[in-house]
Amino acid sequence: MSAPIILTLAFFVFLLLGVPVAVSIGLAAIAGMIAANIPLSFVVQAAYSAVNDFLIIAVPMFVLAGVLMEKGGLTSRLIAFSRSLVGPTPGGLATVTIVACTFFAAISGSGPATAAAIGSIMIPTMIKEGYHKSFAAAVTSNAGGIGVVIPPSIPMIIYGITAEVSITGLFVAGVIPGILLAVALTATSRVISRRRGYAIANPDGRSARTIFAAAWEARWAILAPVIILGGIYTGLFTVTEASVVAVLYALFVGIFIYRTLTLSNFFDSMTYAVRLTGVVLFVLVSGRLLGRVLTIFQVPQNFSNLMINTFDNPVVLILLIIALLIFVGMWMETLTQLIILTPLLLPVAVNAGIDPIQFGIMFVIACEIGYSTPPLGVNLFVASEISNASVEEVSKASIPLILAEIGVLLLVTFVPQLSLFLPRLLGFIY
Amino acid sequence: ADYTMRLSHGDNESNPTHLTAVKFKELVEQYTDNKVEVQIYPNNSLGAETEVAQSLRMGSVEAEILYTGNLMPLAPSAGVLMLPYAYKSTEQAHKAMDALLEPLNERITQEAGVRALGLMEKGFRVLTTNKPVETLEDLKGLKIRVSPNDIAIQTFKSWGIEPIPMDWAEVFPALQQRVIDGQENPYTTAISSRFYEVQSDITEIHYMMWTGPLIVSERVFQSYPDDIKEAVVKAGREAVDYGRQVSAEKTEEAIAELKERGVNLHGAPKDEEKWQAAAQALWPNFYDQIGGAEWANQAVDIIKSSAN
Amino acid sequence: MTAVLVLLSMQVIGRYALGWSFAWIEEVSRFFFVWAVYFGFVVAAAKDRHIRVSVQIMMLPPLGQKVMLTIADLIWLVFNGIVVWFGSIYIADMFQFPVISQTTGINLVWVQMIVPLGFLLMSIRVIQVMIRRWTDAETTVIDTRLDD
Ligand code: NA
Ligand code: NA
Repeated sequence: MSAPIILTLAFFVFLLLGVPVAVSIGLAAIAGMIAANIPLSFVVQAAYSAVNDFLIIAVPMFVLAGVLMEKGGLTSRLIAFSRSLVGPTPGGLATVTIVACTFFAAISGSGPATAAAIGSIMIPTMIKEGYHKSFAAAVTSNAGGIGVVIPPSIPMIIYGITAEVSITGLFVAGVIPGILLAVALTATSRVISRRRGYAIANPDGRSARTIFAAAWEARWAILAPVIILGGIYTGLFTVTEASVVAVLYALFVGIFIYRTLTLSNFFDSMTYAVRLTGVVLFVLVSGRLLGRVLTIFQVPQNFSNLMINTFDNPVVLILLIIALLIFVGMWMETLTQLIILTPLLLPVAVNAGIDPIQFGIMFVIACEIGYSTPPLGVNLFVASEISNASVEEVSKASIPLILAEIGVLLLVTFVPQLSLFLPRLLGFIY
Repeated sequence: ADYTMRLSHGDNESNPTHLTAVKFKELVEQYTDNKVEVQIYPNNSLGAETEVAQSLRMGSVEAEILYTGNLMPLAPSAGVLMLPYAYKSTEQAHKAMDALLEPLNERITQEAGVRALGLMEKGFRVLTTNKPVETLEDLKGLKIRVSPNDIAIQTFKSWGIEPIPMDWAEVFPALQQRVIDGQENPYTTAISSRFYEVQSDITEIHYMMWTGPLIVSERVFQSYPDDIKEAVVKAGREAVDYGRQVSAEKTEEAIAELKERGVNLHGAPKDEEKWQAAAQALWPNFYDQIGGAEWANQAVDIIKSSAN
Repeated sequence: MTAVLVLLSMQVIGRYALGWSFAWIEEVSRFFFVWAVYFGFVVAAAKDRHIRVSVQIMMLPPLGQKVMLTIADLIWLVFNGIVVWFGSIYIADMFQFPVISQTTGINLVWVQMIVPLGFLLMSIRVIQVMIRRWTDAETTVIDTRLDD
């Protein structure tokens, strides 16, 4: 039996036994190293170097900033502002949820965090106004995913590190596709709401005065992405610096403006960010190790050659990659998926004429869809818990929304300008 | 093959580094009658340069071509190759580097458990900027990105500016958005990284060469029988000679292309002596971090005697 | 992590408000960060939050779940053992052949030491969780929710 086969088998057996994903990956890599006669001291080196990366510092910082801003009371003000923006249309509250998620996405780097922050307020509100709980949960679950498509985005940071492309470039590239997703979800939920006769959220209609008042009330929340993302795009800060600025901003608002932040609050949030980083980076560490071992066995090269030689039509190849991403996203946790599949699929995608940054956005949208697909969909779990609807019900209610998202994914795939126009304009790609 | 030699480097497959590696592979396999098979891993796919150098010492990777600055954390003595304004011409640099090879190996096999088979170079570093720099005075007030290496940072400080050790990935956008005004690298980089799109002027400050040793794991090397050792050493030296030649050709091509693209090439600064004097005055400050005064003086003597 | 935050705040404020730049800050914050991440591994292990594929385990009866998770954690301990063992050899080697940071002059052995140390601490936490699983009365719950 050849080494790569042993490696794959070992990996799946460990996973089935319930061994943590990171450990399963690490042990599979060790099995491969023994087969290739590589000294195991290599493990230690990869375990260190995967973490010793200035860019990764942005991961806990963006988590911390998001948590601090939520504790500071920015979420409810963002929702009020979103509400003032939505006109008298059917299913207005669903639209408010989506708009609020889109705003929150520009502060938070995480999909589940976005779904939890907005959902904890909007799902009960929607249910109270007569929305079916499974629909309320489905809208939140899917809109929460926008959190990773609109920058900042932790999956983009991980992809950027794995694929060695500019994270700033990815951040810029995600803006238009993120807004497209919001538009597609809004359109879909409106059609459903009209058919089901869900109430109008804003019977008095929009007025410049109420919008302005709500915007003023939410000004500290709206200013955050302006400073953070504006700083990144103009090249004033690097991504890591911007993440630090985000934390400082959240601290400033929490301590001096809203005066809700205490020292124990701060340390709780810090512990949470450290733990979360531990979970995420444990997978990154062993993923790095496995990546090295696969490289030594030349697996990525052989895999991409096989794909390219088998399917000579680039369109077929691309559709195949998308199908694979969505399928794997149903079963696998986002970051694991990014770490394992990027080295395998990126060369194939590049060969089919896709820019690495565009591929990053496609991948992140696929992850976004994966948050809301069973059996393993983190947003699905979050939304079903808040709404008291079963995972099966929420999944079923999600189907039209997921189809809309797949539509956006295809659009982003076949219209490269949607993701590449902004980064080109700003000089992140040639 | 009886032995496998995994060779790692950090550049892409059109870079002189890779072409050197390919030459080395051909020659080793030829001279050992295919008893040794060389596998090349480009683009840092086995890890970053310093990290892989550490793997060489442990024997988990057998060979590497890397930037001298990235070997210095393990083998400070290699830092003598990076003294500012050590070489006046490419010919002198080659002579000096070849003369340094043996005494250097005596030290780095001890310090880092690696042996250099030869020392590559990819030309002198030149300064690209968005306005003409012909004198030290012109440099003042410019924000220049340097590679994060103490010798480079101190050298620019001696010229009266505060350099910015920025991450490589951010350099192009930073140049375009005028967050920084310039950077320093060999001519070929100005082409491969398309700096000509965002930079208008190039000055041959020539303070440092891009040098990089072809190293093998000492532990692995000593485990080879004598005939293989000899073949590997011979292949290494010839591959490096070939690599230097390829680099020279690529540099010529780059200069021609930059001219064609309308970049102003200024040659050396008008007051080059001032640049040299300021930077050379720093040498003794570096001796501690490049293996001590005794070794530094020995190396400086070798470098100076190669000037004749 | 707080140290990282303080250092990097100094860098950002220093650079933009006062026009200073310190090459060493980036490096030192990276070193603190590496330690913080390994503590993150340990904290996550203590709370049993490291990601597992759990659908198949949830289908088992409670006793079956406990048995299966115990086997899984024993395998985890084997992995940690390998890292700790080879990590110690590696660290011993680094004392003999130092690797010195170019901007700060720090011997990297003090940073890289956290790899075997962190995995050792993590193993202690894993063992605690294993014991708790058999002694606590409440049923096993695997939280697959990852707030990433
Ligand atoms: Na986001
Ligand atoms: Na899923």
